Parts: sequence; structure tokens; C-alpha cells
Amino acid sequence: MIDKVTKISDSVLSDQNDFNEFLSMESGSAGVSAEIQFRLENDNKLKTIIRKDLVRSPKQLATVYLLFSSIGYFVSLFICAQNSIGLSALSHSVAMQIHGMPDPWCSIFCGSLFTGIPFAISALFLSRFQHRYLIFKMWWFFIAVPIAATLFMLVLPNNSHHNATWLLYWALSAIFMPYILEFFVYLAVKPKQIKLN
Amino acid sequence: MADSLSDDELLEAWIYGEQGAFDIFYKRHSGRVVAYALKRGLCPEDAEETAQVAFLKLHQNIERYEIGKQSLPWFFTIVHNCVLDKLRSGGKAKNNLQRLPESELDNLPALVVPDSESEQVPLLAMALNSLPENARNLVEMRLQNDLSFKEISKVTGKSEVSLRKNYSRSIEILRQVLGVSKKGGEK
Repeated sequence: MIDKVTKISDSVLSDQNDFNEFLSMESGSAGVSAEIQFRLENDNKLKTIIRKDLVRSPKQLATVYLLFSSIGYFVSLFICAQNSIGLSALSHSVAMQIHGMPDPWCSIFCGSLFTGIPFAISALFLSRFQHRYLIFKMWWFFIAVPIAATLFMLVLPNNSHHNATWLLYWALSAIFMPYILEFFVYLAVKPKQIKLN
Repeated sequence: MADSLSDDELLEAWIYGEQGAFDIFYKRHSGRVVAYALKRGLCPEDAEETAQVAFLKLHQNIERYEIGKQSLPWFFTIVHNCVLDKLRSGGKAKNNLQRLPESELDNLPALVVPDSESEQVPLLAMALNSLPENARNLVEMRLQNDLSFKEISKVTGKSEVSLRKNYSRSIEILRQVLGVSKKGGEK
């Protein structure tokens, strides 16, 4: 029995000893040879891999996000024409099909498609860390982009014959679609917080 | 990003995607990880590789870190298990090293080594007997018979996850009997 108990005692306390040993190692690279120290700090593929996932600066993230969103808006206009503005024959034919829907579903569907595709493309290319940064640290930017894109589409000269109600539904669904989708991303990437008693 | 940030703050910033936080955390601890691996008996190349694996695992699992908890014990769990895996893969495993369940190391700095081991023995015997039979059997299988959770799972028919939880809970009870509290050192 004593052997058993001693073994358990050792096991419980060895965790502490190992951790103390770890803490006793010098921080930084001072505890290892100069050669290893150099490799740790300079010649390190791991650092490149991890850093690629992260955000170097807000400006860089904003640029990358805008780039992928812009690609998304172009793709969207290739797939479905908005306010009679389309970038391919397919987009006009898809728009015709959608216009067969009763109001307000036609405007809601069109608007959702317009900003949903850019969201999907940017979500595909941004890492979960970059998404988290966007949601928690640059939320204002994420909110601004769909609004700007939607307003831009509205002021572009077009041959659209839609009435104000249709355009209002279209604009609201275009603006809110990415927010709704991003809310699900928010739930997925939200960090855990310690529960306070 | 400021060098003066604590490890906990750095890990939190890392979770939110800040590259500067990773750079500082890496600079602060990469040497320490390599030194620990070297001290555990790995050759320099393996120690460096282990450090890389540990940081990569930390990055991949960083969402499991609860903001507000102490970060270093959690990171140490990853490092320790990576070192152990490397030792085992190289056939250099030492018998006294065991994989650490993450939850077990949450508040390690608060632990205190008892003054007299002999005084602890009757207490521990009592604690062991006070554990429910299932928990006692689990602790015995794990520590006396050196069975892995996978092996115990086969024997008992319970999932590895529930076994790990039960084991952690049992160890916590034993810690309390040792006079060691999770939050504030000795009771």
C-alpha cells in the first residue's frame, strides 16, 4: 500500500517538479548554444508558417480583405447582374431568372447574392485568426465595406426600372447578408473566456 | 507590440491574430523549450524539432486556451508531451515521464512540495480509500500498472475522454489531501 501511495504522491508532485524545471530554464534563447540560438531566431520555417496565419498590421489585413472582396464583387457581377449591371451574358440570364420570383424575394435574393459571394471568397482566403481580428478589432471596417459597395452600385448609372421599395429591399439585404453570415463565423471563432465564479 | 506584456496577454493577443504577440512569445520561450528538451535527453536537432512541433501545436490548438487562465502551465503541458512523444519515437522514453492531461496543470505554480513525505503517506492512503471504487481502480491501473488511457478504455469499456476526466478529478482529490489547493498553495 505504501508503495502505491508513494508512487501516486511522486506522480502528482513530479508534474510540479517538471514545471519548475521548465521555468528555471533561461527565457529567450540564452539557455542554448549560439548556433541553435541563430537558427531559432532566423532560419525557421515554422515561424513563416505561423506568421502567415496572423495579422502583421491592420493596414495589411484591410488591403487583403478589400482585394478578396473586390474579386468577390466582380465574380458576383459575372454570375448575376445587379440593377442591370452585369459582366457576362450569364449574369443577365441569371438576373432574368431571378426576376421571375415574386417581390420582395427577387430583391432580397439579388441583394444577398451581390454581397454573399464576396463574403464567401474572403472567408475562403482569410485564416481564422485574420477573421477573428477582423471581427473583434476591425469590426467597423467589416461593417463599412458592404455599405460602401451597395451605395456604389446604387449610384452607378444603369438601365434599371426598379422602384424605390425594390431598391430598399435590395440594399438592405445586400448590406445585412454579410453581417448575418459573419455572425456564424463569430460564433465559430469566438475565443474561450475563463468562467468567473 | 510591447515586450513588457505578460505571457497571458501575449497568448490572448495571439488568439486575436496579432503577429507581434506570436513573435514575442516565441522569442521569449523558444530557447527555454529547446533547453528543456535537451535536459530531458534529446539531441540538439531533436530538441529543435520538438520546439517547432510544440509551437505549431500551440498555434493549432490555441483556441482551447481559456483567456484569463495562466498560459505557461498550459504551454508547458504541450511542450512536455511533445518532448515525451519525441523520446518515445526515438525509443528513449524514461519510465518516470508520463503524458500530462491538460486540465491537470492548470494551476501548477500554486502547488507546494510537502515538507515531510512520510507524513503524507497515511493521508494519501486515506485519500485513496476515500475515492469511489471506480476512481480508485482507474488511478491504480494508470499509476500502478502503467496502463495507458487507451488500454484502460479497452478494459473498462469507457471512453478515453471520460477516463481522462475521472482521472484528473481523482488526482485533484489526492492533491487536496496532500494539503495542496489549486488556487492558493497549501491549505
